[in-house]
Amino acid sequence: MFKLMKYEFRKQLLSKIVILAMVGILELMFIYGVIAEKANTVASAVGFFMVLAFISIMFVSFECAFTYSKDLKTKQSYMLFLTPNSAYGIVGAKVLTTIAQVFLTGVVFGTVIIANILFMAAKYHSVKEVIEVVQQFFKEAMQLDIQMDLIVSLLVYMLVYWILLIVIAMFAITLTYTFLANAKFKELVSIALFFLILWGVQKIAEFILPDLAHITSYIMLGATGIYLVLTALFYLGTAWMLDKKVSV
Amino acid sequence: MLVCRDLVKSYRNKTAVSGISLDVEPGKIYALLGPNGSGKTTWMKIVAGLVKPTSGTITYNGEPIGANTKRKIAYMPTEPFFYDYMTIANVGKYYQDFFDDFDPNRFEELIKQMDLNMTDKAKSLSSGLAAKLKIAATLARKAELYLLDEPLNGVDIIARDHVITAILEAANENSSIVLSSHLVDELEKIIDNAVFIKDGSMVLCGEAEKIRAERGKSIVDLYKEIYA
Repeated sequence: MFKLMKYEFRKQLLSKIVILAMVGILELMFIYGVIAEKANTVASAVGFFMVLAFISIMFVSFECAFTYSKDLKTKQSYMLFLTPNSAYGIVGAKVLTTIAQVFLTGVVFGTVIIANILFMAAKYHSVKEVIEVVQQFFKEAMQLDIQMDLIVSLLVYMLVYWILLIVIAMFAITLTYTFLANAKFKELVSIALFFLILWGVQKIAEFILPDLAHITSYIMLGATGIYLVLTALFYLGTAWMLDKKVSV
Repeated sequence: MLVCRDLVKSYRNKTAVSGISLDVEPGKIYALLGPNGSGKTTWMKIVAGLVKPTSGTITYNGEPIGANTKRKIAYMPTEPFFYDYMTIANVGKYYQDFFDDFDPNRFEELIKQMDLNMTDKAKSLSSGLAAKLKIAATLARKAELYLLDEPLNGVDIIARDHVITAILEAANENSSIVLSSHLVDELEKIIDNAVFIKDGSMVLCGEAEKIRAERGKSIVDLYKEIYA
């Protein structure tokens, strides 16, 4: 499993280098803005940085699906499917690699944000002041009475839902390459299937939990449970099709 | 060893393999003969576990084709398939990571014999050199069954001798080799058994010596007769 993950990561390394290079450029822009005291440059760097963080995490999440699609449609599939690994191991390694990569991407962006706060603090000689400003920002901008249990359930809920999205994408791709192997425009069919399945999943969740739209810890716990079961089912379905039906 | 019965692989518009039943025994070199599109590659891919048969059964040492049989069967596809980023050394490391029977020293030896450099990128190799790399990576495994799809394709006349020598070195009483090739005259000298495939069906199969004696013809002449 770890060897499969190592090569999955290696296959997707280029995008990480590009993301790191872009982070580096924006960081230089930010540092220059702070040192030269150019508020516009700092604001632009922060703005671009937020956009880059969002796009990067979305891309890293779904890069797994692009790589999987390539694995199925090109001759490079032999590299993967000639190895003595079960389909369950192959799909599992892909999902775990994606989780690890998104986590690492988050860590990189988080570290840069903290480093920038400290840098500003050093520049203006008061860490306390900066922290107070940040706290004030969250208080005023969000105007939320934040409950810890709600935040934790929301984070777990988002993580599980996001893993479900990745597994559904892989399921849709596998379905296209097995039972719909003769279909034209396979990529478009996969995308259409993805949204169709996602709609179905939402309906199932709403059927079991009619109050899904009302955010409470209990509702999110229930929804997380439903999504976990569905994730397991889609994972098993994907691996089963890969094992029994896919010809490369 | 390898037993397949009534193997069929159908696609929407055609049947690539049509009811092939074949046993591959240990210690023998088989030639899988037939023109393009006759079903040789599909049969090999089924044995390698890359293609799922539509019907029929296939087992290796009694177990169905799957992750476990891939540990013992070494398949060399006819197309280039290494990842774009890989150097020749990376290819060796990849095989070493996944196949317990891979011998890195043998790989280095074969790479030298084939006049390749470990630092060269697999993607930028000419078709002849890429074919040599595939052969080196596959034959550096101490597999029980080798499936070599068109191993002489794109390989120049001088290098063909190296390839054939490497194939013969991999052959022993415990391993079998199945070779597919259009270059029948090159294979005739080294094979024990010949399997003729036409339109997905097996039309003739047996020991090469026996076929030659019974038919009074070389394998090359029989090939011309069957496929002309």
